[in-house]
Amino acid sequence: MPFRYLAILALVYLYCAPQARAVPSFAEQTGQPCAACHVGAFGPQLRPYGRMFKLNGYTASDGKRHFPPIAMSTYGSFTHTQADQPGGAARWFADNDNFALDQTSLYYAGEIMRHLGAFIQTTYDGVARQYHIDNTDIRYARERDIFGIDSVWGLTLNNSPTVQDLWNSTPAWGFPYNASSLAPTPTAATRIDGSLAQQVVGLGGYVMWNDWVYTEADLYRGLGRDIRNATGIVPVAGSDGVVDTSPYWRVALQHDFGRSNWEVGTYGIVTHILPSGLSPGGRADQFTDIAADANWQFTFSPRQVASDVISAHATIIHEDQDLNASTVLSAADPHGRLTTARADVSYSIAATLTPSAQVFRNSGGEIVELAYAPFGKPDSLIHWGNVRLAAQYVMYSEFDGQTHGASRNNTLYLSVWAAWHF
Amino acid sequence: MKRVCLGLAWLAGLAGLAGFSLPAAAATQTIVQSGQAFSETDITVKVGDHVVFANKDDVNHNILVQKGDDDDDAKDMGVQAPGGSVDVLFDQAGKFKVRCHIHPSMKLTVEVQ
Repeated sequence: MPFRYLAILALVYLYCAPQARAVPSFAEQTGQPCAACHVGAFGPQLRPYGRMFKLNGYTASDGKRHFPPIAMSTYGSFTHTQADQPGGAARWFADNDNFALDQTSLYYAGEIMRHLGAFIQTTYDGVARQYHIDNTDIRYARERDIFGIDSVWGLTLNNSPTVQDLWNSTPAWGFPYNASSLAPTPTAATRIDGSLAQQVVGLGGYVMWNDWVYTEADLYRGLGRDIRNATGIVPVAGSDGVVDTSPYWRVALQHDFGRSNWEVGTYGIVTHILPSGLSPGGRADQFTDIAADANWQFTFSPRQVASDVISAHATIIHEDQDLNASTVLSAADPHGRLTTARADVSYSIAATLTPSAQVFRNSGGEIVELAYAPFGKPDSLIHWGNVRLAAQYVMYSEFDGQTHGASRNNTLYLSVWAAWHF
Repeated sequence: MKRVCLGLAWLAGLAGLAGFSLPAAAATQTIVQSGQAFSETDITVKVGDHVVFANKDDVNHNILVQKGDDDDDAKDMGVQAPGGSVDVLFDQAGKFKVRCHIHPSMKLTVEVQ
């Protein structure tokens, strides 16, 4: 008998709760379904409206009060690698064929006060079994005429270079949108490609002029050991440390041309790193990352939120390395270079089924993925959250400079990702 | 009905001869919200005219009317469901910005003469 009541209550909730959401509290605030902001009706790949929402400081709303904007997400997975990983894919895990509850995140995501909003993510990493402060971007934005032209200017306080970016070609929100923590991954990566995430804090200013020209400049500082300990950013002992101020820049040309949205741009950062936290003779390694990127999105039917959408993203990152400290510590070559590149394309069918493919270089290979998000459309049955089922296969033709045996790292990754609001 | 119309025309003619002018009837203009954009970016209306905003999208919209750049005194017309419309009376001369607070890229300038 109690099960019957529970079933009735569940059905009533499904039909009466607010509309299905993206980061569900953002969607609750705007009254828009997930698909309004996100390709495939599930984050983080943004559509033009999603980019505009972020540009305007996460403050666009339907005028109703939705405070506090709290949401949750969680995803679990199965990982199979072509070759076993002797000793375990990670502590607490087997050599192969592992199930994991990858991440559970709690978000403050939405308006704080007029013109001020935030995306603050805290995450429990179910593989490392640790809690940490995750992506954070707090923004203040205003609309103003500049030289008689409509413009948006704003400030961003964030903890990962490119987490504040509007496009999915840059590292923080690039494809693949989730990946296995239990598979081998190439070690060679540029500094801007994730290794500074949550290790720094930066303040920047930006302007979008006439919906055409986007410019941004930020200054980052490395977080001290105590703060990294307190926020769960580990390992701290023996890890690299960011010193001095790291300037970051972003320039992009973008516009809507009919049903197409285009972007071409550049971004980069100059950082000074203490390898393993050491500074021999007061020296630090200097990394200069300069990148170019491009985006294209085509919306078949702009009047329909659940329209088919084709998206393509590409970026190339070149890094010059002046290893002034590493060369003293390990007799490394004092100068190095690293160039990575990747490009992906996806076709979202009715904001429900989204096949995607990516090619990547330095370590070389391809990723193919099929994602399915049943909800998040205006007429969806479930109105309080969304779920994304994905099957992903990563194929390596080169792994950390080695072609022989690279395919032993090929990975099948099946995941279930759910998000909901309170 | 014909007799009433003729009577009104006669009265109007008499008023004109006497040097009076009757106020013009208020006009109504329709702006369509579609594809997260207004159908026009600039319009000109007369004081007392109405503008009807018709939501042809499948998501909610909102109409926010502000005079000049200052949005502190913006008039919020509330949430507009798909298929719904909002009638806004422009009863003061000036330049007004119309926005959708949900979709900041939707912009319309209304000049009221």
